[in-house]
Order: sequence, then C-alpha cells, then structure tokens
Amino acid sequence: MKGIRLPILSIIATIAILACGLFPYPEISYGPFNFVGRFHPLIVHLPIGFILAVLILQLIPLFTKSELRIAIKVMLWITMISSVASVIFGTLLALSGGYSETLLDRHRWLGVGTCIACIWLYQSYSSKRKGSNIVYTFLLILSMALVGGAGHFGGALTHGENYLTAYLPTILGGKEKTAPVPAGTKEDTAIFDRVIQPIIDNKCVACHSQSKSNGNLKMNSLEALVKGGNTGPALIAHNALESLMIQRANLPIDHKEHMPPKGKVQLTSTERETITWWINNGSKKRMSLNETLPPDNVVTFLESSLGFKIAPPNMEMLSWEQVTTAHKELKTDQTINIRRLSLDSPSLSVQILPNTNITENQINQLDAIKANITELDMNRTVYDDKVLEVIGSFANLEKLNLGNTSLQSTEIDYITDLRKLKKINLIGTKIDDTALDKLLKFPDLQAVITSNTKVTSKAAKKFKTEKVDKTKQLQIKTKIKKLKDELNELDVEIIGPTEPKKETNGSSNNNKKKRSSNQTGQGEFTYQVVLDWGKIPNSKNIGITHGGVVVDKSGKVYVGTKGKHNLVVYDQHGEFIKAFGSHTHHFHGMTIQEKNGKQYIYGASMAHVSKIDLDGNLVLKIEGKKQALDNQWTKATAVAVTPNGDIFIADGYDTNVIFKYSKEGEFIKKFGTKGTSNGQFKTSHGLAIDSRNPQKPLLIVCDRENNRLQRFDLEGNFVDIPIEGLRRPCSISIWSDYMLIAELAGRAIILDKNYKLISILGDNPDLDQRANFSLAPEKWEPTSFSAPHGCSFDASGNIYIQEWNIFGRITKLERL
Amino acid sequence: MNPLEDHYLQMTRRQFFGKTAASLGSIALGSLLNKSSLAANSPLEKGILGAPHFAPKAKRIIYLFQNGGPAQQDIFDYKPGLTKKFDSDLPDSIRGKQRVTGMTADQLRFPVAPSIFKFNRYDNNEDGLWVSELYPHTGAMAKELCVVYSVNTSAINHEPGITFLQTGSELPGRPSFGSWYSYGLGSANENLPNFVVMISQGYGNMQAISSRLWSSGFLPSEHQGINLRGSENPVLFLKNPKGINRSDRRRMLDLLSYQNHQESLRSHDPEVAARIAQYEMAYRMQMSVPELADLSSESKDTLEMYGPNVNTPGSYAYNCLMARRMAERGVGFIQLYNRGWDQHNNLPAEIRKQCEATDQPQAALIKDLKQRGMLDDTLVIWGGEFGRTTYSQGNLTQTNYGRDHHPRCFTMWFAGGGVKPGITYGKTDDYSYNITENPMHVHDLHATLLHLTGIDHERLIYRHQGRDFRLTDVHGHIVKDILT
Repeated sequence: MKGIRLPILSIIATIAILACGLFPYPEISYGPFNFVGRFHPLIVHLPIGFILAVLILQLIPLFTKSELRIAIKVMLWITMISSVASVIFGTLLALSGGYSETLLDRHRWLGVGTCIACIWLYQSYSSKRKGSNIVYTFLLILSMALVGGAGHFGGALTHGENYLTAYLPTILGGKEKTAPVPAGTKEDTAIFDRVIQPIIDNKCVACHSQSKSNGNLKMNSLEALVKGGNTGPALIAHNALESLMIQRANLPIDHKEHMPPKGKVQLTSTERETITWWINNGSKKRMSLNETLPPDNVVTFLESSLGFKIAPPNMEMLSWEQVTTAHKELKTDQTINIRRLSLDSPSLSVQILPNTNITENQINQLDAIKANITELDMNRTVYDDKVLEVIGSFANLEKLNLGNTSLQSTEIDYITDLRKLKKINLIGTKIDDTALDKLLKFPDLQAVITSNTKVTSKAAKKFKTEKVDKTKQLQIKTKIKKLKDELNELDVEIIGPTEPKKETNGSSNNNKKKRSSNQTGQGEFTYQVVLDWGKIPNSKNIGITHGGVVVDKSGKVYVGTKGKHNLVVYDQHGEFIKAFGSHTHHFHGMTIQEKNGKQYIYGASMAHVSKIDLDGNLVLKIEGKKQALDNQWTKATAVAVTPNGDIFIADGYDTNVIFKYSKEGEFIKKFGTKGTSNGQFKTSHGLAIDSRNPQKPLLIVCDRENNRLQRFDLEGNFVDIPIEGLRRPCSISIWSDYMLIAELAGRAIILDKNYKLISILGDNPDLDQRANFSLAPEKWEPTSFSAPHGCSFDASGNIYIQEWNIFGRITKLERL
Repeated sequence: MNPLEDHYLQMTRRQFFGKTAASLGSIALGSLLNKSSLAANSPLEKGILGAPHFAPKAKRIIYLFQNGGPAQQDIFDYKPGLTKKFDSDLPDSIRGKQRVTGMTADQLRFPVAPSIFKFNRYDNNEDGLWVSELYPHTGAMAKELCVVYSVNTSAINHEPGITFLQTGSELPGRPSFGSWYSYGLGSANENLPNFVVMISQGYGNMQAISSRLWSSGFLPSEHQGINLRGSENPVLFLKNPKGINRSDRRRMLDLLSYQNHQESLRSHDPEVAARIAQYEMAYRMQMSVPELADLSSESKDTLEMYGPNVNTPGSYAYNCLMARRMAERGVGFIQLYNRGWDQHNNLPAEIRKQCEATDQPQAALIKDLKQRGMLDDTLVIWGGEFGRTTYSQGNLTQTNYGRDHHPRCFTMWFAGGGVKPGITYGKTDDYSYNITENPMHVHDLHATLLHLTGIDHERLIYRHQGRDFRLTDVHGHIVKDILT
C-alpha cells in the first residue's frame, strides 16, 4: 500500500510544484501573501542545509561501518517538506514584485528543479526497487548542482547582481573597474557621479536597481531618480523638501516609510545633508562650487569625495596666551579697539572707531591675531577694497558691521570666504538687491540688516524664502504633524447627536466662517473649497468614484461613478439633478463636445466607449472586443475628441495603445506601446485635445506611471514631452490658457501655456493618504486631496475634482 | 588722629599688598594711567573680570526705570473678571494678613477698583499679549516683548523700593547695578562714561530720586553713574571758559595729573587714581558729549518715530533717543528714570498723561534698535519699584480711583538682548494681588540680567569691611525660562 501511495504522492507534488513555476506572477499587494512570502529567505536555508548534511552522512560509511539509514531518511524527508514550502513561499514573495524578470525566472526554475529533485530523492531512497540506488545517487548529485544554482541567483536577487563579483580580483576574471568619472574642477565638478551616486550606490541601490526595483523605483542614474517610482519622482530640483528621497530619509526611523528601511545601513547625517544641499542647488550632474558652498561638514565630505579643496581651510584659533603674546608685538593705534569677548574663549571683538579712515596697513596689523577675531565693527568708517580683501581673510568672523559706510553690492565679493558669518549689518550702505544674491552664499547667515539702503522688500522676501533651512523646516513640519496626530488621539468620540440641518439661507453664514481656512492654491489661482458639495439625497454617498467629470455650457456638472447611480448630474451648487442608466456605468475618462449647437458627452468605460447626449440617450458606442483581431482593446481609460469629431481612445489599463476612430466610429489607426521611450507609455491613463493653438491642435497623453505628459499631432506622431516629474498624472482639463492636471499622488496642479507651474491645489502632506483608494471620509481634509483622478474647469475657472475613492469623493473649488 | 595713620587704618588688604610690593604698585599705576584702575593682565581685557565669564547675549543695557510704581492692572495685567466685582470688598482669602502701607491701613474697607481702561489683544509669539488702551504703541511691539507679570519685591515704600531695585539692598550705600556692571566689564568706549543716567519728569505725584541711586557705593568712584542733564548742556561746565583753548586745558590737566600721580605713589589711595581717570574722562567728554547731544544727524523719520517731544531736552522721548545714541557709541549701562507714577488718587487722569508721554518713545526705541540691527545685543528693561493695589485708595467712583503701593506682584517687560521675544511669564491671581505661578524676585531679576551680560552673579564679588558683597548678596536664581 505504502509502496504505491508514495510514488503517486510524489507525482502529484511534482505537478503542483511545476504549476508554481508556471504561475504568471501578476504584481499583487495582498498583506497575508506578502507576509508569508517574506519567510522564504528563512525557510529556504533548511533544504540547503539538510541536503548537504545528507551528502556528508552518505560519505561516512565509506570510512566506518555504521548504519545511518534512518537518520538519512528523516533528513531527506525534512529536505523534501521544506523545499516544497520554500517553493510556495517563494512564489508568494515573487508576487510582491520589484524583481528583475530574468533573474527571477532563473532562480524560480532552478528552485522548482531542486524541489522536484528532493521529492524524488526521498522517493528513490525509500524505494526497494532495483536501480533505485543509481537513481538516488544521480539525483543527489543533481540536487546539489541545482541548489548551488538556485542559491546563486537567489543571492543575486537579494543583494544585487554584482554583489558576488564586485570585489573579484581582476586576475580571477573580475571586471576591470571602469575608470571613475574625473572629479573635474571647482568650476565644473562631476558632483553627481563622484559624490551623490556613490552614496546612493552604497545605501539604496541594493533594493532600487535594474535587478530589483522596489516600488518601481530605480536609483542607478540621475534620470531614474527624476523619473521616480510609484509615488512620484524621487527628486525635484531646487526643492529637497518636496523630494521623496529626502522626505523618506528624514522621517523618524520607526516610520514605516522611512528609507533606507529600519535594519538596513542608514544614511549618515552628512550624507543626508549633502544630498539635500545638492537638490536645493538644482540637482545637476555637474555644477560649479563657486556659486554656493554647503555647511562645513558637507564641505569636508565633498572634499574627501572629490579629492580637491573647495573651501578655504579652517583657521585654528590661537590660545589666549598666544593672543596676548602676539598682541604685544602689534603696532595697532588708538583707532583700533580690541577686547576679549569672554573668559571662556579666546575670541576677540574688534572695533575700528567711527570716522576713522582705515588703511590696508593698519588693518594688516591685525594679521597675527586674525584667527581669533569673531566680531568686527566698522560702523561709520572709511575704507577701500584692499581693506575689505584683508577682512575677507578673517575666517572666523561671525558678526560684521559695515553699517553707514560706502560699501557697494559688488564689493561683497571680497568677503565671500567668511563662511562662519552669522550676522552682517549693512545699514545705510550703498548696496542694492544684488547684494542679497551674493549673501545667499554665506551658509550660516542668520541676520542681515539692510535698513536705509536700496534693498527692496520684494528682494528681502525672496532672500528669506531661499535662505530658510529647508531640511529643518521639513523636520518641524513632520513634528507638527505628529503632534496633530497626538491631539487627534485625545479626542473623545461622541456618537448620537446629529448635525442640525442647514437652511439654505442660514448656511451662507456658516460658509463665511469657514471661508478663511479652507483655501488652497497660489496667486491668481487661489481657490476656496466648497464644503459638502455634491450629495445625493437619501444616499449615504455617491458610490465609488473612479472616473471623470465634465461641465456643460449651462454649468451642469456630470460625474462618472462606479456606483449604482452611474453618471450623476448636479447643478453648480452641488444640488443633485438626476442620474443616468446603467449604460453610463463607470465613465472612467470623459470629455464633452459641442456639434451643431448640441453637446455630447463621451465616456470611456473599459470595454466600450459611449457617446451620449445631455439627456443620456446613447448616440454611438464603440466596443473594443468587436474590433478587427489586431485592433482589439479591453480597458479603455480615456477618450478625446478632435475639433472635427475624430475620436481617440487609450487602452490605458491594458496594452497602452492609443486608437484613432472617425466620428462615425470607424477605425483609422493606432499608435504607441508599453515602455519608457518617447511615444511609449506606462499606463496611458488620460487624453486631452489641446486647441489653445487653433492652427496646430495637439493630443496630450497622461503617461501616468512615467510621471509625464506627452504630446502628439493629430496623426499620432510624437511631438515632445512638455513636462516630467509629475505625481502620477491621471487626467487633464484645459480652460483659456491654463491646464489643470489631476495627479493621483495627492494633488492637482495648474500650468500655464508654457507648462510653468502656477498653482498647486490640495497638496497632501501625508504620504499615507496619497493615492489611497480606501481613505475614509472622516480622514478627508478639505484642502488635501488623497487621489485626484478626474478633473474639470468650468466656464469661469472654478474647478471640480473627483478622486479615486471607495466612498466617493467629489470636490468643488471656487476661484477667488 | 594723624590723618595719614587714619588712612592706613582704612586700607584694604588689596591696597596693603599693592603698597608693600612696590613693583606691583607701579604696574597697577601704569594701568591706571591708561585705562581703568583695575584693568586685568592684558590690555585686551577690561574691567575687574577682564571679560564676561561667558559670551554675553546683551552687550549693553537700557533700563527704562518707571519711578513711582506703575499700576500693573491698568496697563498690562489684564483682569477682566474684576469688572463684575466693582466696589466689592477685597476678599480676606486674597489679602490674608498681609501688611498694607500706613496710607491705607486705616481705611474702613478695601473696595475692588477694576481698571476703567479697555484692553486689546496683540499677537505675540505665544497666545497673544493683552495691553490696555493706554499703551497702543508699546502693545504693537508685542512680538519683541517678554512681559513678566510676577516680579515681586520686599520693600513697600519708594525709597527702599528703588534702592532695592537699583542696588540689590533696601539699605542705602551699596553700589548701583550699573556700577557693578562697569566695575566688572570696564568700558567699550574710552570717550564716554560707561554708566550714564538721564532723568525725565512726569505728571502728578513725583517721588524724589537722588544721586545715591547711581552711586558706586564702595566700588571705585569712576564706576558711578554720570547724570546727563536734561538741557542744552548735558554736562555743566564742560565747555572751556572764554580765553582757554583745548591745548591750554591739556597742559593744565597734565600738570594736575603729575601732581596727582605723586600723591597716588605716596598714598596708593585708589580715590586719587579715580580722580585722575575722571579728569581725563572729562577732557575727552569735552569732545564726545557735544557730538552725542547733536541730533542734527538724525533723519526726519527717526525723529518722528519718537513722537513730538523728541526735541525737548529732558523729555522721556528725548532721553529714549539719547539712549539709542549712547548705545551706538558704546555706553554699556544706560539708566533712564521717568518720574510720576505714584498715583495714590486721581489715577485714571494721571496715568493717562503718564502713558501718553512714555508709550510712543519707548516703542520707537525698540523699533529703532531693531532697524539698526542692535536689538539682538541690547537689553531694554521697563518697570518700576513695585506695583499698585487692586483695591482703591480713597474714594472709589465709576470714573475715579487711586491705588496704593503693592510689592507682591508687578509687571516688568524686557526686549532684545537674549530674552525670548513675544512671550509672557508668571501669573497673578484674579485680583492681580498674589503671584500664582513663576515668581521673579528682585534678586532673581538681578541674577538673570547679569547672566545676560555674560556675568555669573556669584562670581562678581567685592570685599569690603571684612565681608564679600555681590549685587545679589546671597540670593538670586537665574530665570532660565525667559532666556533665548
């Protein structure tokens, strides 16, 4: 009985394991799977160890006579079970995605092979049939080979492909180290290749590279960083505060989004500051270090990475004994007043008496003690550029008063080496706005006095915003958020009382009160959030929103939902008018167009695209499956209509191909594929026709996962990429000269005709809330969006946003 | 008794060692002639300490002393709850068995007199500052002010009260705060005294102030405050008489100084050295004081900021502007006295005038210092010798009342120089009668102020009559909560 059952079981197991190998591995994010999957690296070492032990035990009888049969059998059994478990766990782990496909395939097949070999190893060892010994020996050797192979590729998956050979001596065939990029000069430094990329290589690339890209983020080149991953670009030039790579690194280490993850080697504070400084200064591949110098610790770090000096060396202060000795030799006269600042340090405060005409010779007398001068007061003195040049060498100067002198903006160049300067008094001098640009170079500057000069308040304001320490700002913001959370936790929950019903007249008062706080956006495009817009009577909520929104000429708003109300119509005040039938279910992408005085709504709902009139009557339906075999599509996400009525359809959730149809629904052509090059898409999610230039209307594609827009002419020829580094753009609405983009990662933006960002709406500071489909209404903040999906301007520039949300979220923003 | 023997008997141990070691004596004299009689080892070090113990936050102090005791509840210490308690008796639970002055001790009752002035809230860096309508300009500076509601003193009458605030002791004879400062740190400007006093007159009941308040006590005389007069000639007889020019004056002083040196070598009396230093200072002041008092270089905007009285010598406005000018010129301790806050009766009418005269100038002083980048290292102090009672002295009507002396709590404010801007500190009870939180005694105030100038109050010591003296005597805690 047993003899029969075992082979049958083994055959079943073999088939099951093979099935595991053939499993297609879609990217699935399902908690329990991911959790169990992560035990794969743990359990996988059991079969490896045991099979090796079996081999050793097999060799023992060659030397001594001992019976180890039972032990070997038990071990083979454990090997078999644990190898099966490894394959299952491994399959689950692979589901979480982020691995290089080639490596994964190799590892998978070798692993599956090992597992099958182990099953039959046990089988053949237990069998008493003739020849099973030979089979057993063969399988033992085979499984050893397979384990070696699978192990190797498994290691490559975890640690990166080059992990093993990175330090292989060239004699043994190790790769010749590619010569490092030359560091360049201070004027033209290879800052990215020599400083930034090495940090990232050490700390980030193990999980974010070609072979393994967690969160779809690769960090092995500057371009990859700009492109970013699922949650957006890793860096935004000039703005470390908004750059995810810095945001994540600055989170508290226990935060689940902190990077590198807890337990991995962390960035040092100097490394973090270096990257922050680099981003804030434009995150270029090469840059000039003449323009701006970072804080001291970063300077040291840069110098060691680059191999040349970029800042004047630190000047050591003399001890107090040395100062007094040196001072005795000085031939300073009555006009220079020197005193010790405090007994706990040898620093000196120097005052040149007012109305003194100070010469280069006089100031040079301070040379022997200049390292100790931390304060210099030259208020109301007369001096020339040579004197300033000498002062420029007082490297430890922290406070400098040049007030009421003839100083001009250009002369500040003489003192730019004073990197410890904290306060500079320029009251009543001849400086103008350009002086402030020069002062930006002083890394530690905390106070500038420009009263009674030509410096304008506008320039002062700009200086303040640029000078402010963005990293510290972020840290404080994070702290505030944490405190707010704590505050929320203190709230007592009271269930029962119902909100008093708003009277139409009385509510205006209420709204006024809230008006001041619920504003978002900047400048001309500042908006007031209209609270509680778009309820459906007798309905808890409007149903899943995962669609588009359009506004007709009379101001009525059409919202495509995935709930039971399908397409819902509101007036501009959010009063529910009606809902359409199921033929309008899930209008994922929408557009509206007028033809011969009549308006039509087009809706893309995956399998088909519909054209309806404003009463909901179906006028035209294009079905993806009914197209010729080569031109079928299944998941239409967007539709756009040209001025002459041609229809573009994007198969955004499937092939990414864009199809062009005539106004009668006849197929004309198709273009685009999956990918990252020009004319290729990664989720071609949204479409829009840009006729702001009537001579040359263009098709714009929201290339969502490439975080960019692409422009095509109406024949489908690629034109350009007008903007990159977005936060998962979903859809577009154009009004007058302006373009509104709904971005899934928690914000909407308005661009002008030249794609310059002019307003950011509802930017969500909470990374957990961005692109969060299931965020509950009680967590919604009026001025932070979670996942903007559909958007539309109305005729006066007000905005409607519908978000990807399981409870249904639609917001009106009134332009102020 | 032989005057010489008399002198030796009075000699301090310091003088004794100074005399017996001739070489030491001559070194001491050498430095006398140059700078201060007590200069430390290196010419880079000044004052008895040589330099502050640690880096100072405040390099100079401007003390706007409000002589007479401003009523805290009519200006800063907002008690809206008292309106309802108008004319009710001050509860025994509040007053307890505390003493009151002889002026109100035999009143039959102590009726609560709520302030008749309206209070406004000004944004500061915390949850706002309440200031009455009497001080709109000062209120508008709320973001620069650190207002302390809980200052308290031991004295109940003016003379001991001011003396305590100025010298750290109610008994006369101790050195003034400014003298201690000058003695410890020396001067930053050789051409002006390091401790200057200016007085402005107020309205209504004024209390006497005398030069004893800025005396150097037992410290060498050159550290006493120099009182600049409120007139065209801030220092009398500073101008050379007709027929004598500056070189004549120099020759006269050289001869005088030679003779004084001879005396100094013979007796080693530090007062002789002080005299030499003062003659030299006066000579230099002949040049520096006219420049100081010449307001023609001030811009129209600046003058307007200080209000209409700024051109009247002797006014609070004029003194505030002079204070800023002295601060610019390196005077370390600038003490203004503004008289007229002793409002025992007719308080509403008198305090109005008093506030009108002080509000704009003192706000302008802060603004002016800030504009010039000086507020961060200049400490401005405002306050009197005590506060006033919540109960009315004399008749209480809807429009009139008076207030008696009240030492248990009063309000002072600070600006700049290492004090946290835009905060309040300390709390008083609903009657502004007792302190309920964070008291700041005068000794604590002194310790804190010295700390801000970089001096450890426990290490600035002078031995006199066989014991060690400090400004804070054996008391004083630094109030760290108000420091930046």
